[in-house]
Amino acid sequence: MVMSPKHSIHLIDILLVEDNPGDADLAREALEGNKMCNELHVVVDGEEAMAYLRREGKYAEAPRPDLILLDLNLPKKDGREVLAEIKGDEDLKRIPVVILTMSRDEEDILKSYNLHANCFITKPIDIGQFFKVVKTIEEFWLGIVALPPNGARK
Amino acid sequence: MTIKSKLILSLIFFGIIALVVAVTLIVTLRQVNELDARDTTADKLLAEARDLSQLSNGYIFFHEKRHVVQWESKYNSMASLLAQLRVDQRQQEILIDNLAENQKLLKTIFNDVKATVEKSPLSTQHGGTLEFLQLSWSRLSVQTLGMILDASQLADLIRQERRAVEYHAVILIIAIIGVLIVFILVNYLFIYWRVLRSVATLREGTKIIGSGNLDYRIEEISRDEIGDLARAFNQMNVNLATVLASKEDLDREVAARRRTEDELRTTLADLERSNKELEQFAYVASHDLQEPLRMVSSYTQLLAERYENQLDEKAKKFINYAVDGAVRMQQLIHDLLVFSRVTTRGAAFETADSQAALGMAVANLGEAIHESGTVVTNDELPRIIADQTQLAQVFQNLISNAIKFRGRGQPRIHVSVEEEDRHWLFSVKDNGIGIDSRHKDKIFVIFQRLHTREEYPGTGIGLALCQRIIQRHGGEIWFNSKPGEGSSFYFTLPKRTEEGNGDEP
Repeated sequence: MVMSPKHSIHLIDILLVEDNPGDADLAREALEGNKMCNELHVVVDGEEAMAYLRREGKYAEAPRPDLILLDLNLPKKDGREVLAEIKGDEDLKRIPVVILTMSRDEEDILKSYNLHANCFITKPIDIGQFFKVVKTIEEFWLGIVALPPNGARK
Repeated sequence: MTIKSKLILSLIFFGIIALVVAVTLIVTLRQVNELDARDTTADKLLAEARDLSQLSNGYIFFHEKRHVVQWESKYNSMASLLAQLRVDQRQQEILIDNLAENQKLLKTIFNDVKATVEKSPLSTQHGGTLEFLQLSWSRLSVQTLGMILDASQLADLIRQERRAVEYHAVILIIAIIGVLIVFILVNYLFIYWRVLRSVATLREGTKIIGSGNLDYRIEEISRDEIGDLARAFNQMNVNLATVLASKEDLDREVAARRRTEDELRTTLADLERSNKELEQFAYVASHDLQEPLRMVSSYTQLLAERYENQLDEKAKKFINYAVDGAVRMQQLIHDLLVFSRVTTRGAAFETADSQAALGMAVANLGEAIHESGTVVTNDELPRIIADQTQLAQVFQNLISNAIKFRGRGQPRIHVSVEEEDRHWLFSVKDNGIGIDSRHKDKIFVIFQRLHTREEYPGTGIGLALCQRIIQRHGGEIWFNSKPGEGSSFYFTLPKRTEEGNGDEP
């Protein structure tokens, strides 16, 4: 990942946890050409995601994301565990987590909200719909919702 | 012979002996009394014989009148004694006869003397008279002496007889008592020996049986009560062996049932595991199968979008087919999941409001009902024991089908219910295109369709899902229809109690 220098324009960091490169590219496609300046960071499994968030190893200099897009089915550590760890961490729990998954299983939805997911979205199969959803997520969470300043401590 | 009858016989025997002894004693006593009386009579006879002798002498010598009176009195009393006396020995009878004979003779002599004396008193007696008197005196003396001897002999004989009777009675009683003692001893020893021997055999037998040998039989020891006891023991043994045999059968049966139970438990565990695996499979299907599908559809769409200008109409049509196939595949996977979750995710059977379930279905279909102008009516629906969400799914699928397969006129759907003995019979009637009865078996098969997708969209999950839900509730589903005349779908839901929740099929 290219480390972005501190800008005068606030650069938005999004962490996408997605093991399927095709899906990751689709998300990138959806976010490109967006009005907002953003930087998409992609990790491919749950352990990588936690390493990124805790700035371990090669992620020592990684920026703190403003939004996390989390798939549920991940290799090694799955999405539910990652969600539980983020929401159980005093520092990380304020980062909004959007569950973006193929599943529309009620149990997955219930479990995710019980683990304090900020929202649960089933990936639409239609590409136009998908692009619209991704843009809406970005606009809603990074444009409309008021969040604590990035890096703020309790 | 039983011990009881032996004892009774002994008792009877004792009784007879006692009776014999008593009778013997009585008879003997009476005999002795009788003989005593005879003895007294005999003594009197002797005394009177002596008196007669003296009175005779006195009269001959002194001629006194009073001697005659006394003599005659003695004579009469002696005669009456002789007449009274009854004896049973020949010798005694002869003596009595002799005495009677001699008495008569004595009287003849005495009468002659008396006549002579009265004719010539003492002072006038001459030589001839004196001679006669002298002779008479001798004759009287001899006569009385003979009588005295006879009487004394009679008395002796009677006394002897009495002693003999007494002696015989004593001997008899002693003999009887002796026999009795011997009998008692023998009887006692015999019973004692037999009973002891039987009891010993019995004790040995019971010891062997008690040690567990149920095939052992106590030998036939006797035909009395102890023998009965031994036979009862043997019978008990036979019965016990039978009981033990049936207990063994029972044990085997229990073991067999336990095995079956174990097998059932294993099967149940297998079933639970395979159910879990199925659930896992369903989950995998929902996520992992959909991911590649999404890739196919997303990137073909992206291709069409980004390279729109470079693609001709044919290429765009091909891309549409690809996308349509992927979308349908995704719907099929989703439907399959819903179908599989009827049993794995079903809720418990609780009090459910079928009216509310219908309301839920109608609300979910609000748009379709509104667009098609359908009128849905219903009877008052009862509260039943069921999974309300699944019941709503059934109503929703049936009503949705009725709307989808509507006829030319205004669609009308009526939901009714009838209470029967063991279940509720629900029906959903429509005035749609109807179904050919040829298809009655096909219609409930999953993904089975009677029409092309172009005519009527859908995967063909609806009725299969309804059937699965009804079957889970233990009910049945069927339909009556004629093409062009509408369809009536019927389903039953068994009446349950709240406690019956667990008995899902």
